[in-house]
Amino acid sequence: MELQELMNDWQAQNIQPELDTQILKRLNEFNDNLKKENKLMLYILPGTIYVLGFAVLPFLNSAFLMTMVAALMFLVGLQAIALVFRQINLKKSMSEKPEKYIRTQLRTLRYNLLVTNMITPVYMLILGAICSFYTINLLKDVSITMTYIALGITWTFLIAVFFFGWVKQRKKDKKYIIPAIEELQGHLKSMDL
Amino acid sequence: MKQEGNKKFESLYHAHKQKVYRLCKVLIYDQSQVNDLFQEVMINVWKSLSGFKGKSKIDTWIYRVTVNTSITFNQRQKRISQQEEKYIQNLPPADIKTNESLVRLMEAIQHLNSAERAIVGFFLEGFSYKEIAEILGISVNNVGVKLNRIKTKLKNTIKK
Repeated sequence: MELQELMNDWQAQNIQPELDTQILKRLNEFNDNLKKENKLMLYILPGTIYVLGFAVLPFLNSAFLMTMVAALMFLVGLQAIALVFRQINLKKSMSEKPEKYIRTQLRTLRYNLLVTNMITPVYMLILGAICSFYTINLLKDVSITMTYIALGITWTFLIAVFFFGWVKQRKKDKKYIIPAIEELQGHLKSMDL
Repeated sequence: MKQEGNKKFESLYHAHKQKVYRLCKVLIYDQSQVNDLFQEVMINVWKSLSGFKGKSKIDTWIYRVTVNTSITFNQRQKRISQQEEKYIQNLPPADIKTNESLVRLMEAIQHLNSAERAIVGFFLEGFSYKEIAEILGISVNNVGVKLNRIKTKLKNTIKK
């Protein structure tokens, strides 16, 4: 069969997509659900942490604790801002040429890896520092040995929770994010970009 | 404002739905998911329409959204099918089963990678090399070279 004939046949296909019925109603519903999810991730969660942080700050009687809580708030704020920028960039890149879109996707996936490997350990360290501070303050006058034991238990517990969480996340990353990165890099190569 | 956007989207939808749907059929890896991809493309067009600044033609813009959406959609579907150990259906869609040459063409397209699928999809829709180059962000020469290679590949696969 001639190519032109094949092209004519291809273009002559009369298709009625299933989406035809009440498309705007369905899109509106979808968008409302998405907005609700976005609100939770972008405003409600970081907002709650900020309100709690500012509520607690005046009651903290130590510069060390204040620094730790401020660092916690700073990190949460930073992650929320990063999330906002990522969403804006992804939305923008949707209509860019595929190369730019793939690169934005790659950046997002690499950021997810960074969160697993760099940001989550910092949260654990801050949490550990706050717990240690209270443990030392509560027990230092009681017994030095008990303080050491309590500190040991606290850090063992934190490291265990963090380690198992981290291993689980790494497994997920290895299964999904790393292959996704490799696949996107393959797309870039296949396009000779 | 929202009403105006909705009207604009509806007219775009009716003007481009056939082409976009046919493109989806070429771009998708799992043919049973073609309606889902089409829906996702339309959602992305609808969501991004307010950000369309008119730097390119609206057609170019819509087809770019289609190609980009298909990249992430295929990736996600692959992940889900791996999770559910689901078999990816490489069979041609039911609506072209009556035309044997189109069935063979669709089967041959399944052997192409995503960039090649996009090029062949636009070619089948009658886009010029220049238009394909503009949509995909590659040079016109590159489109020509790739298209020649794709045609040879398709011919060889169909002959088998």
